[in-house]
Amino acid sequence: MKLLNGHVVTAALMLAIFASMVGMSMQYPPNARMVPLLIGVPGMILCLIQLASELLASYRAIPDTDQAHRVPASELVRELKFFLWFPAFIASVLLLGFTVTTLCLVFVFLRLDQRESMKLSLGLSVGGAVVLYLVFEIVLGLPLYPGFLSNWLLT
Amino acid sequence: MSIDIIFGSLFSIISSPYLMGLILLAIPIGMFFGAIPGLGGKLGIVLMIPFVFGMDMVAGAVFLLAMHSVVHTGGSIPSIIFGIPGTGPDAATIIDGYPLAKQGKAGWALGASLGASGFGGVIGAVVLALMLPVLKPVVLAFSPAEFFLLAILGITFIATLSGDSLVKGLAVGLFGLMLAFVGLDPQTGVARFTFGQLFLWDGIDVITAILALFAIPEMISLGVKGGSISSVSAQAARYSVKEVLLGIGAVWTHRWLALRTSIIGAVVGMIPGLGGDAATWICYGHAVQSSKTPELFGKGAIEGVIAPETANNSKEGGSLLPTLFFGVPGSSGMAILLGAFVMLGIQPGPQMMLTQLDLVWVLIWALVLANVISVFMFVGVARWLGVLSFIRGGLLIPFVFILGIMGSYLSRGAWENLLLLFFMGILGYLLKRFDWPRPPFVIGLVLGGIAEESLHKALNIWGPTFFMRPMSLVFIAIIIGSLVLYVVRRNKQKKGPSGVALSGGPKL
Repeated sequence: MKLLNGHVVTAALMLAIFASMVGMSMQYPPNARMVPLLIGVPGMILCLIQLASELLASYRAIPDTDQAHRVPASELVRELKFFLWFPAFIASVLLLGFTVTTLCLVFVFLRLDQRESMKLSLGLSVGGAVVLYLVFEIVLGLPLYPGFLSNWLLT
Repeated sequence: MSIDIIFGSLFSIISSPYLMGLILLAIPIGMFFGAIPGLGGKLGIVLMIPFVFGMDMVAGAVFLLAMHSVVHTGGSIPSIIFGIPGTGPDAATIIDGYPLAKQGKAGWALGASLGASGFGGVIGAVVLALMLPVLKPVVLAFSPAEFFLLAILGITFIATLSGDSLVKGLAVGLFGLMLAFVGLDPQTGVARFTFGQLFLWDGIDVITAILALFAIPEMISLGVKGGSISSVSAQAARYSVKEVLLGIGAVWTHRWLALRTSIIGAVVGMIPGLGGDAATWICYGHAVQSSKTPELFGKGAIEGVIAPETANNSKEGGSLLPTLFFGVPGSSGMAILLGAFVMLGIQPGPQMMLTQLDLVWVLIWALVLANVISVFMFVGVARWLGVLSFIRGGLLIPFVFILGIMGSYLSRGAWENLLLLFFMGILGYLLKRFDWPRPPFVIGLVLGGIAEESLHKALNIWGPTFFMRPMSLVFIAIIIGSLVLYVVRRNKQKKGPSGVALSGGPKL
């Protein structure tokens, strides 16, 4: 669809966030809702202006220019890959904890995504895990989160 | 102002092996973040946040400030050797630094940049120190009404200067303010925007929000676009220590220029939101105008390296002033530093002038020491510093993810924060990808609580006419003036090219 692009979607998303927060504010007592409404309503109006401006820009875009500004498919694939890597890191930390994630997922990322050599990937992941353990557990005395799964296995 | 406080603060740092050790540790880390294109000082502060959790307020603040103050010293390395700016404000150094490197004078240019950075950093701290007695009565004259308007002014300034679209900048700033209202309302005790989640009762964690909006999008972006400069020949990074020392000597030769640009940089830094790009380009322009040989600029004039580099470091001292005493960050880097200070328990604002002046002096001295020590440290490792610029961004991505997740988890010890990090990280990437400036968000989030409290206080004291107070009217005039100035400037830009864009800079 010609009108729907990233700029439009982002403006619409911001508008939706403001609108839902303004909607929620209406349910609070007067003193609690005053400032959120004072900020939220102008925010909503600004996002509405931005959305209208983006829609107009999309509508007016000359087809050739539109083609030229289109994001290459390879870049989109890379973006999607990173949108998967990021939650994978979070999920791994939640399940396995920081040390195991640094040891395993950093290695997997460097090998699979960055195509680094086995030696470098292994060195960086092991080195990273050791440094994290030494700095946080030993020097700073901050226990690293062990993860749900590790906790369950250990208990 | 008591001499005891001024020099007692210096003594408390230099007599403490712990604080001195932290400064010594912070300098190479700051240089590292500056020297690798695509990282920069903002990411440096964000990623170092997990490491300051175990520290006390003073130690954490000294470490982060020392690191942040030398980022641009490192940023000149890729600018001079490869013609690639380490960070946005280092771009002006390329114009003469890179031609010097191509002429085989990389060491000389690096030495000049180093000497200028150290000199500028010290002068910036001195300007800040000299401003303290002048500033005290001004800060203390502020009432809750002015503090509310100051928060709005901060967002307006940053919104007008950190991106191409005022509408987007203001919207993001207001979004930051809205998120500051998440949690229990201090006035009524009502849980606002918490979706029944207990971990949100204390509000959105500032550190998680900053990590999500800055570190995560930068890494996704680096991963998508790639960030290697390894194709550049390593030959360019070879130079001798003697050349570096001669370069430092060049700063003495041009000492009056260095002094003028340092002062200009510090003053520009004091203007909230103007940022480093403006300071460096203004000072570069001044160097060209005041030179007897302006025709040499762009071809390898050493003054073209000295002027932007002094400004780059001196503006940090200047921008500490609005950050510490008004809670309005002088630059986007300071916005993140402000968030980190809040996390450490430092509440920026006028009370710093009354109750935490010793801390202010500790920070001023930390700024001076970091800049002076960095000169000696750089000379010691000068021959190997160019190698830093060869580190591939891709190798850092997984570690940034881990440190980001760690920072978010440690700030509250709640795993739910990681979900917040994920959703806000995606939003942060969309904002970056589609040119919505992010610094106004941080200011909104940090100042939101103070703004709301101040507004309630002002309404209780003066009623709805609080904005008719003389000082409030001045603030309203400045807010309107900055918006009008923005519109005029945009119209001028649309009508035709107008030379160097001073406030354009990289999109944040």
